[in-house]
Amino acid sequence: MIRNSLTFRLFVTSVVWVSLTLVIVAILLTIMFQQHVEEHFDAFLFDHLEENVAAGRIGENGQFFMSWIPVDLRFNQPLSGWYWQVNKGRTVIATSSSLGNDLLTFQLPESEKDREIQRILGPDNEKLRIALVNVPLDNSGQRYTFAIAGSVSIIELDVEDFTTDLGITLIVLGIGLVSVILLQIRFGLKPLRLLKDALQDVRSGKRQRLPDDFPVEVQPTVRELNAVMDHSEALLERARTQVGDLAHALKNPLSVIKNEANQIQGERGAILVEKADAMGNYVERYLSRARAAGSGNIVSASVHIKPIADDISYLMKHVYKDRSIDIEFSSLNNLYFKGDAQDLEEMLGNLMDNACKWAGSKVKVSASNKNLRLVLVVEDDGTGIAEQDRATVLKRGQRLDETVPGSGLGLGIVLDLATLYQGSLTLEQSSMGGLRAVLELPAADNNL
Amino acid sequence: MKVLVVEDDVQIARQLETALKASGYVVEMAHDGEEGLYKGQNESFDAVILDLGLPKIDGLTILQQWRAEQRNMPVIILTARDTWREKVSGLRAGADDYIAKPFETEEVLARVEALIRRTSGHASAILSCGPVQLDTTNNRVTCNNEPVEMTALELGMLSYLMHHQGDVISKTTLTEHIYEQDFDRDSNVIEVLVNRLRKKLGNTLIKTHRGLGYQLVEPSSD
Repeated sequence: MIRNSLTFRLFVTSVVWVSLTLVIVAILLTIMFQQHVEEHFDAFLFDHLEENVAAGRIGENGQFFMSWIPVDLRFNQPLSGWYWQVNKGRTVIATSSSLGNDLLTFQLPESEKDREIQRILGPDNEKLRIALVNVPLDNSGQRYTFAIAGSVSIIELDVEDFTTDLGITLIVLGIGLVSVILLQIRFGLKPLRLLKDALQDVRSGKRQRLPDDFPVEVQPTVRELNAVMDHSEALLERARTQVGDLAHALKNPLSVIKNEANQIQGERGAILVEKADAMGNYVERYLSRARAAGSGNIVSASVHIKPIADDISYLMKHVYKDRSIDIEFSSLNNLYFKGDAQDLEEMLGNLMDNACKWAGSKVKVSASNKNLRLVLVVEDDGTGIAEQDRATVLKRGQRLDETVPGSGLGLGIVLDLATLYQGSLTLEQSSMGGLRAVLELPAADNNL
Repeated sequence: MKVLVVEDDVQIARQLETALKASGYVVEMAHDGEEGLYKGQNESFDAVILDLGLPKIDGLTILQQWRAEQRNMPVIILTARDTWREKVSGLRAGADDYIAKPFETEEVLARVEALIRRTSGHASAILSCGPVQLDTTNNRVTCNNEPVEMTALELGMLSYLMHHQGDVISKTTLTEHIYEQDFDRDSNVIEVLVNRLRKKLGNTLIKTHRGLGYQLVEPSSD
């Protein structure tokens, strides 16, 4: 169970209150049971006390005697734990034979006729519960105190048995309660789990929006989330439409200017062409940036690489049909880019286009996911780019070879987009001979 | 070779038309989607240059419509939006190549030339038939390595025949591909042109199949 989870919080609080309740219940029940057993025990003692009082007589010589001895065997076995004793004032005048030579020591009850229970230590420091009563047997004004004591070990045994049974019962009850609570948590939090699954589906593109049948507590959040997705999608769509319109509006006149300028002989024509090219490059680069979503933080941002690579590859094979370039994919399946599909298309498109443009006959595209960083490698078997020129091609609109068509912006645009995603683009020497472009981007973990 | 240009921007259209005509192509223009769609459906072209952003019907829809109707002429799309998605959907809809705006007309010419050549199954830019060679990149014709001067119409016919070497081509097809639409199809200019080509390149190069048309054949090496 994850510590920072609702399940954990609910579970821990329930376990705490269930245990607390059960412990309090156990204590209360034990106290009540002990009281009950003690009352029972005391009643037994008082019964015997009454019997002894009834047996107590004062002889004609004023001597005390017991007209009969209690028959209960326990009072006759030595140190049985059951004793009786009769005092006259502080003087012991009769004892049970179970006491042998020992005596019971207790505080004399204050009041007349009141029965009283005391806890004392008997022979062998045995804990005893003693019932006492003062009886005026004669008119001498001397108090006769009758005492009957019983070992509390019997009470303790009873209470111990009871607490053991109670403990087992309460533990079983506790386990039952916690299991039910776990079920309740699972059932109660099910909508949240469904929400998580639905979000996952949105991320992986299985569904467009979150469903709207969540419980009332969750539904407002779901509605807001959907609204945020609608909003960001609409914003992006609007920006892209406008960028597209602007591109259309700017590039047509630029085409015209460039071609007219080409007709003008000499330096004036050349200057016009150069400036038109520069304008075209700015338009291209800034529009490509304006078009970029540039963020993997929108909810529906998880793009499977393979279909996009397939699309671009289809395009390349068509465009470079004459040169029959072999485009090889390696391990592109089940890798996801955390960002916008169109942005990935731009990056992969430019890299693959560049690779195909310069390749001898082979282009290789491979990818991997390390610690949520997606590493896309596009390499070719062309002539590559010399180390000292690599920085140049990444700058705006720089071209190393003016004879191959293209704006020379490709790699620069890729770098721009990668930077928007806190990624990077590095150019290296490929073992295949040509350029090896390594694009690092955030990867989407589709297991959320 | 007859090319259809579907482009709503008047200046771009004019520039393309001028450049294509200068390279010996017969050019048909369409300035909106509807006109473009109609022309592509009803006339035969060796190549089409199709802008994607068109009024009335957009380029992609036109292309899909043509392909659905088995109009299989090669199509180059012009895109100003220049996103890979647009390029991919263009090619998936049946385009053969794309050119991103702003472009230079030279590049368009090179792509049109390569596309026509590729469509007729020629890998090299220089088409040859016996002693005759045609460099499609600059329209220079040589016979036995000697340069041969040609008029635009002669070149148009030779180019069409060279691209379709071995095929018997009817007079109507030839007319369609080397003349503008409003040409009087009953005249005998095709015979005149064939005779002029025979005079310049040798009598055995173009074979006449009576009632069927003409065929460019490699002269037997005797």
